[in-house]
Amino acid sequence: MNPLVLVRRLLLALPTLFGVALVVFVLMRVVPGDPIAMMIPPGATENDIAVLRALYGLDRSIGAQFLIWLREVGGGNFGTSITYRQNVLSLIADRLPATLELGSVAMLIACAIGGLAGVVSAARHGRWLSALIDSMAAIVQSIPDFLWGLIFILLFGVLLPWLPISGRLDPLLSQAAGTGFILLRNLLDGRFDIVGSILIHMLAPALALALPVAAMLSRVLKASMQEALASDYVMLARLKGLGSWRVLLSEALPNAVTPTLSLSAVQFAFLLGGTVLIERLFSYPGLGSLAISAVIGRDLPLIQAVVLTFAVLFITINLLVDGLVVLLNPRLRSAH
Amino acid sequence: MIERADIRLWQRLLRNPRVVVGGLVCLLMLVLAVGAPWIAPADPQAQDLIASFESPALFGTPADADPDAPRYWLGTDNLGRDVASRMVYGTRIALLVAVVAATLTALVGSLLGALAGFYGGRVDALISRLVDVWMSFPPVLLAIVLVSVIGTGLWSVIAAIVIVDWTRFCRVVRAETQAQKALDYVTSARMLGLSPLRILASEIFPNVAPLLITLITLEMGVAIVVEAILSFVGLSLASGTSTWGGMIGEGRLYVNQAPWLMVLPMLAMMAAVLGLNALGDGLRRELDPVVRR
Amino acid sequence: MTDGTVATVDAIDAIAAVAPVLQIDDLHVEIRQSGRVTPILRGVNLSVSAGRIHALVGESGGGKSMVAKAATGLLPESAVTTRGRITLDGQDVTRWDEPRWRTLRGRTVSMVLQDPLTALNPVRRIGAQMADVLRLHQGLRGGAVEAENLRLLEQVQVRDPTQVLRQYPHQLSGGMRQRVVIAMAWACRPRLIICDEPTTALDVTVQKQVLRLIHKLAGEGQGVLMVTHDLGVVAKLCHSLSVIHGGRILESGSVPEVFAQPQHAYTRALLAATPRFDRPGHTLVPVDDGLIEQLDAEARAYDRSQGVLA
Repeated sequence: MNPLVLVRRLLLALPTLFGVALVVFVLMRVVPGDPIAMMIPPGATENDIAVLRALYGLDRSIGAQFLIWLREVGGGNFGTSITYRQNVLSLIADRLPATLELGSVAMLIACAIGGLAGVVSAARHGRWLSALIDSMAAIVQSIPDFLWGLIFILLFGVLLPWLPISGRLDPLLSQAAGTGFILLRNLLDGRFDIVGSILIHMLAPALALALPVAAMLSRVLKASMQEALASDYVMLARLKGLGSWRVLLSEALPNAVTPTLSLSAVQFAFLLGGTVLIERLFSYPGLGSLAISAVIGRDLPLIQAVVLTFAVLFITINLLVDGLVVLLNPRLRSAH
Repeated sequence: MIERADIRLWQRLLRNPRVVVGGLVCLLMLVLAVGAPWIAPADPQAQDLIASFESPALFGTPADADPDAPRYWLGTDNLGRDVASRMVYGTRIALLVAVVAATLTALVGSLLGALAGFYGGRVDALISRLVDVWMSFPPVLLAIVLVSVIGTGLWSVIAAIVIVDWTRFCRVVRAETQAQKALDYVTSARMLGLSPLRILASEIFPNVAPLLITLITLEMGVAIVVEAILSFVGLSLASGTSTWGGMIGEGRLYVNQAPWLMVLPMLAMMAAVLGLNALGDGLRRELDPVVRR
Repeated sequence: MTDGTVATVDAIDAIAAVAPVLQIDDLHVEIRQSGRVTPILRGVNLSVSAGRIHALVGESGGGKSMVAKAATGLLPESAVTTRGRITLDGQDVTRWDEPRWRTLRGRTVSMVLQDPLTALNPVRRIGAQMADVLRLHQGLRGGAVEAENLRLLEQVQVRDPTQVLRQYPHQLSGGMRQRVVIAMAWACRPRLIICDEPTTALDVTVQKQVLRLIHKLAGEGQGVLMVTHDLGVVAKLCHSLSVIHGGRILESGSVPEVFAQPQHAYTRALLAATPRFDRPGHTLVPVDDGLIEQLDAEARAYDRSQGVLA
């Protein structure tokens, strides 16, 4: 595999990163009012205020301010959260694993459901099953994750209280579970009781996030599959005497997956964005609910840190999936 | 069998179930929105604390109810406000935001996309880079942050939607413009010395128009959802005004005792979005020459 | 004999009295879709004998591909066989369903497709694709598969077969790819090999090599049906031919006879439109529109006589 391809894409991502930082900076400066006044903890002295002012370079030009800000942010210094009275970076580090776990589980569910639906719909195209799947996909995709979250809250909170609708896991187990990537860690440790509790709590929010993405994936995959099924190599596979499911899964599907993959990257990024609301709805302690609290509390240092984190996540995911696409496509692998 | 090409456009549109259903939903919304003052049974802001949490009369009234009391077809909320009236006025806000935001988003996005596609080179590089940066932000978060920065109000909401979602139109129009530009008829137009604006308007635009119409209907659905999200979080309009999102947000607090407060506006939203998406999908199928095969 | 068909007895086959590998008798196929009925094959008679290369010649849309699909059980779902019989290696396969066809495909009948780039799966290695038929029909496993693959590639004159097996289709040249496709078709020594325009996608120098290869393989005892519109290929390679237009066989016979003395106007027109090196100074004449109209009218008249409402 040619490493230069990846290096090139990495380099291309840098200007985007820079642009993102610029936008966040501008956004923060656009806020009406004295930025320092909002960042001062109560009980600060004149001296503290002066120090802060110098630190943020507010007595200097805008360009210098940007550079100072860039340096601080690049070094991980986001300051202190106004509402939480904690170091912003540690707050984010605290909450990020929860969101990543939720997002990953949701994406897995979306791929499983979407993949299955897409393949079945392509295999049974022209019959009632395919039409049913397609129309359901269209409806499901039209309902945004926010509404699905509300539906599930109604469903599991009021009508059929099977699933918990708040928190990350059973409070009684939280001591044993630890912090950070608790799903992963406890899975590897074999603590399946904890894993079970986490998954059960994740189910409703993950489903809410997953369903619209699954619907879109199934439609795109079906279209790719149909294209692959109409190709000459599929006909040749049939001519060799291979069975239809074999042809579907080992000839058509591998070719259909690659175009769907790049789309999935964008979808994953949007899915992560959806956690902003879904986490709030389900009281799930992740980055999304932190973001909402930050905005409602007008906590500037926290807001800018959260926005930056999400943006960096988006860019990273896109990069990773780009690399994956190159890896999977033999034509791209040996080219360049 | 009659050939499709022989039937004129309107007839074709009316035969498509998606277009019909979607169109009816939009029509209904329009009627409710425009005729709100006459259709709504009561003043949506009128509070009657005695009559709070009345369950919807649609589901039947208790036998001991006072026959002279006003009937609340969809019930009342925690402050005794008539839910039906609030929903009708909510339709007004939703539609207003949808139409204005979608149109503005389409304008801004299409313009930038057309410029990028037509001029290529540095212009394209700049705009594309801008789109890349923009799309690195989660849209919901960006909208919320924007509104908290700009301040609340109807126009802030609309501005937030435009600022967040213009990239959708930009990408599509850019691709279309590039494709059209490569075709011969544009080259001949340029040979004739026609100005770029003229070419864009008279040659390229008619080809892009069907796609734009579809995207606008979809964008309207997006606008309704974003507005609802913003009012759900409390960042939309003044809390007195009736918006679906606001009703959902408030209704959530009383979901155990008065579930209809949350369910009804949710249903309204779903119907609106589904209707708009169906309409957009149907229009795309009828207007896109490739799909029509 | 149906209207407009001129048949010459093939003397060679009569003397050889070889049982045909493929025998199509009076085949009528229609496409039924969205309430419309379109006849595709109108009484096709065709036979291919073992060790012989028979050409099916005609313009695009004349029904050649449909005959090939009928002979492999790959007619589209909307196609209905209303009359006639297809006999493959002595078995009547006319009304066979998919599971039964699967026992024949690859083993008794195989096909070489037109464009070798699209005929090969872009994401699988050559070795893996070639192994499919060996595993499926011959039950080979492991090392035996690789050994047989190498042997097959050598038979089709591929240099450095070990390297080729590990490569992906896009890494090979057009000629190489076509050889691989031929090797796959030939792997299980099927009784019938159908070649659908096997050289159209290749350039001229490579065409010659591929045709020579097909000729050599046919010499091993397979029957070959060569579907083509290129009369040059027919002249170089085939023993006999059938001319098809509008789903009807207009003329058939041995190649030397038909080329020397074409009986049907359409055959004459095709020959006139083909550059002939044996006739220097020969002017190319495009097929006359009037002739086509006449043939189409005949086809419609035939449909009416059969009671087909199109």
